[in-house]
Amino acid sequence: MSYLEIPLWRVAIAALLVGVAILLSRLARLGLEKALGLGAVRAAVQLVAIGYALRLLITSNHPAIVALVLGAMWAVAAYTSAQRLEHGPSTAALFPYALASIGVGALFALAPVFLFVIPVQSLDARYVIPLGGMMLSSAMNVVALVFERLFATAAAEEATLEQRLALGASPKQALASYERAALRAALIPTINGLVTVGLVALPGMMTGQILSGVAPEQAVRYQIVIMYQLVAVAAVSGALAATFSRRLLFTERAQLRSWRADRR
Amino acid sequence: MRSPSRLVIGGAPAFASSVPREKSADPRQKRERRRSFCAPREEFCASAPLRPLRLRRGATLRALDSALLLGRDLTVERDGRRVVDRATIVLAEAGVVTIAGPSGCGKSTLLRALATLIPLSAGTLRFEGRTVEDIGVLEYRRRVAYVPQSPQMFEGTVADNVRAGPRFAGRELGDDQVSALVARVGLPVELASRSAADVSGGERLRVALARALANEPRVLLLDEPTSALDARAAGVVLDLLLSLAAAGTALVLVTHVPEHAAHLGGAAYRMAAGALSAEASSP
Repeated sequence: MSYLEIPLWRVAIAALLVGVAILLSRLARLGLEKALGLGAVRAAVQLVAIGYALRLLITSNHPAIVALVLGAMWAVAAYTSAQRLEHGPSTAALFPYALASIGVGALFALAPVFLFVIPVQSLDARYVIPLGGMMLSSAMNVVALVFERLFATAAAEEATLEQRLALGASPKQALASYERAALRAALIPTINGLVTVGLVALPGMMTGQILSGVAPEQAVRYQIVIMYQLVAVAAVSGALAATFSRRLLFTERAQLRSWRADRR
Repeated sequence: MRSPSRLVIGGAPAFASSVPREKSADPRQKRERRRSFCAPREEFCASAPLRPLRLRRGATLRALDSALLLGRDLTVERDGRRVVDRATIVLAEAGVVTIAGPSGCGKSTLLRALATLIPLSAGTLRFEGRTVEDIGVLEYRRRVAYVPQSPQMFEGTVADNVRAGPRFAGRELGDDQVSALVARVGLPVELASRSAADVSGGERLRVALARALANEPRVLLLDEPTSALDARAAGVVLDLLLSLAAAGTALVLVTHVPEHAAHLGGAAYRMAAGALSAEASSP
């Protein structure tokens, strides 16, 4: 191993950094001391737990277990992106659509890469879990943004949408301008990432690889592949989420569904 | 289970006079015609049972068949409550129908149901004798235009608004066609190049009318078009509607002002608590 190992007592020193934030919170009376303290403990516990889980996962490296873990990540991502919609279907109703949008987008970005770019032997946990996790979490954010934005706009612009329908617009035509706006908004973070990577942000995985002794030029190549994958994920998952939203917003007879009425 | 329905026939004067009196029609033939109102494959028909029709004013089933727009036993339920309760409405070719009633009685909902913008829980809707399925819902909406109480302007200029409907159908209106439509609703032609966001409240309704007319509809469904206008402006709009009716566009107008309904003439309906009935025949 060509990297410095960190003993636990030195991690404790790093915890003092949180202490600084807590002190500032107390001085400025932000009332965030408890949240900061609990958050720091929670982060440590979750990471230690996933550390052991990953260790088990990588040492066993059983494809079935890897698939199971990916599946769980996928479900959590879908559940999260289907939550917190102010105007729109319930989490339960939205979940299958979130699952499909995220799943197809992630698969679209991962399959060709694992087949042709980073050819892994079966489901190698060391590659599949981190790359899969990155794609799933990116898809989750894009899908959540598209859902939130489209359902909120449809609720706010109900009258305009209905008047477009009344003039003979198909649901697709009626929603087109809002759909474009939602997709653009959802893609902006990914595009910003593309533009600023290396200038503002040094991506975590690349930094990690360099820290663990991977040659920087190799780590950079991995990162380039990941950035391109993220673009594909955002585009595919976002477009699918928009299509599903449209189906949920309109009935088969091109009538607007009133989600607010349904939720009462 | 044979509950009598409250079918009421009302038509424009032209319609009423064209109705032949056929009281001695073969009963079997009659039954056949009734059945044709509610073919089982129609979803719009939902589960409305076939009820015997009791006709007033000597109108016949043939009159219903020849109606331009026929809504029969239209029922709309919301949160388990019947907002529109088995309303039957008949609109003749180039006819005028007015629906008056207090606010909240369901008349706007009935109009939106006629525009197919909200689902029916029961009842049948026919245009030119065909179901909405046969025509296709988008095509139906091009022929049966709906103008809401407070029209929203779309992005862009007034001309963009007027072009919207034909554009949805893949047709682009020429400048002269746009100008003609703007002029037809009594607006200055120069308005076409103005941003629709800058159009005043009174002009909005006219822009919405021009926008609806751009699809060359045969029926205009109008929800309280005069509600936001002062007496003078309301009179101008009513005269405009009369001129449209004279030019062959059939009108269904919802209003809570009885004088406006009387001004337009035609068949007068009243709505109360979701139920539609014909007003005592006007002189």
